[in-house]
Amino acid sequence: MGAQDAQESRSAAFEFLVAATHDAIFGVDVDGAITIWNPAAERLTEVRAADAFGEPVVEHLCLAAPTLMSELLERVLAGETIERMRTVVVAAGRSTPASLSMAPTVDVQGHPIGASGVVRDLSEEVETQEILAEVQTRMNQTQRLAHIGLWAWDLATDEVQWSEQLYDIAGVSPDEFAGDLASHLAVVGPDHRAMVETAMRDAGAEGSTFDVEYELVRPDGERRWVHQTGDPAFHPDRTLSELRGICQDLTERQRAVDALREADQLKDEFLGTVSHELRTPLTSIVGFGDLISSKTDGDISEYVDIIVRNGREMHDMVERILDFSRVQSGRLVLAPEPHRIEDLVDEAWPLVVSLLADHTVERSIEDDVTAIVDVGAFRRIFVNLVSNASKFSSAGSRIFIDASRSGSCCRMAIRDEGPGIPAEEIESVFERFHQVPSTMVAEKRGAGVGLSIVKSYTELLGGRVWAESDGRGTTVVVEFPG
Amino acid sequence: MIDALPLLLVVDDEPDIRFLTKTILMNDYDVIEAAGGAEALEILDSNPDINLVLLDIRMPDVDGFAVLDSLSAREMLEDLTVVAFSAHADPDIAAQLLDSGAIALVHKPFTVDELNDAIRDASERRA
Repeated sequence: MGAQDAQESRSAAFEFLVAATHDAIFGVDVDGAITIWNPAAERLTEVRAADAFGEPVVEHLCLAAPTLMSELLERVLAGETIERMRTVVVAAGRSTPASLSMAPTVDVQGHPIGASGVVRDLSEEVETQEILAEVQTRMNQTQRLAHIGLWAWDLATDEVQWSEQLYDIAGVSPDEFAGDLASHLAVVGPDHRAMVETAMRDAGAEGSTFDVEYELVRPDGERRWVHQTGDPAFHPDRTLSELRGICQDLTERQRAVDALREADQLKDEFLGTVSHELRTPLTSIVGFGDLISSKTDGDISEYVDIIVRNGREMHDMVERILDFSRVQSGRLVLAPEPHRIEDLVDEAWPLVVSLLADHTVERSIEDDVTAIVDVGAFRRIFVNLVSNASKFSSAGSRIFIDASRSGSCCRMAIRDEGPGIPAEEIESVFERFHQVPSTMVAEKRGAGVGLSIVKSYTELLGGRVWAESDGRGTTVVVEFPG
Repeated sequence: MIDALPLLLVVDDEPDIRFLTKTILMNDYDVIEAAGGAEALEILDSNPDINLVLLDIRMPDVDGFAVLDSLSAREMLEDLTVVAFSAHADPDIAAQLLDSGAIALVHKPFTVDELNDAIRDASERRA
């Protein structure tokens, strides 16, 4: 093959490449008239090559600044080369982000005969970058709103990466952060550091997940409560590559919890004080009333007895509210042990004798039925149930106290012959401050906490309680572990 | 000469409660009153004949537990029968009182019979 053949072969190849490329390619003579205009240039400008040839390039390839193209062309014709300049091509009614390269064209003697250029359409790239930036912005916003920072720990290099939000949570700036596990652990409070390190290293060794909560101490001394979770990530060959996860700042939640606890304690103290303060005047009312009653007869004695009884009821209610508060606060310590139900009922009996004075009691407790209960808790459950049965049934009616074995449990049922509980109420009687509708029981109202106390104590003992009513009386069934 | 009634010290910061207990018990006891724990300890120091004490727990100056502790430290509990006022709602406190040296408890509010019974029970248990 001769030199000319080789030359022609190269020209053919160039022509193919110019025609096939996605980049717009153009050439101009020394006057700026178009000599080359490839298909990509046609697509970019929507000007056909046939219409472009011989036309001034500044008219068909306009840049965002109207005079920019002619200035550039002038510089290139004077010998300058422009490499990948970011610009915007305004053509075919749209603005296209693009990069522009231009160089002078010379003849074999080296004389300038024009210029040639390449314009690369960057709109897809720009669009992708915009989407990425938008995603990044949203992710940052999400992290900020959720108080979540992201972290990743490369297990091969020990490199640790943090998201922007994690720097904010830790109060550390990126240039202060050495980017390894030691610097990650450095922000964990001293009491929790070993625990967090063990959790992360174990998860890293086993490729498992982990979940820890700890106090983070910022360089400025501020403390944050943080929940950190991590998941393993794997290489395509399924070997472990890194651990990554989130750190969530729970400080605000923790503060709210602390404030609630404090408020709850204040409430308990308040109730304790109220109970004590009410007890003193009630002691005078009950005591002096009883003294008067013992020294008089007839009507006066009867009236004073009513005062005494009401004083006692009022006191009872105060004690129940206090008890309710105590059981709700969850600070109650119970000591469940096996006891015979018969013994437990006997032990509590003196507390209910006065409540049952106007009723006939039918006790049916199977021999040797035992329950694993705390004596004090049983007493409260029993007294509350008997008190309800007596309160919500009429004088002269019967109250049934049954206990029997039921599988591995001990079942105690207390049944009265009162008006019962409407079906729609049967679930809610155990809710606190629930009171049966006033039409059901004239003038019989309590604090509405009795059954709620029963439920709380029963559940603390690992048992359950429910009520049954068929419109002719109410049965409350308590199941204790036996 | 009539036999002197046994001495009983009632310790309570509420004058009404002291008056109430005194009224209930005056046929059987010569009731001495103390309005607080400190006063009670002074009275007990200077009156070795007192062997029955009715003690309130919640008092502003020296409370019932502190009184029991002082008596215990001075080894005076051996010769005293202490009945403490308590409340049904405080089973834990009731248990602590019995641990600290109270012989029996009276729950406030109480009736005439309940107070009499508690004191009689405590005296019998002591004897």
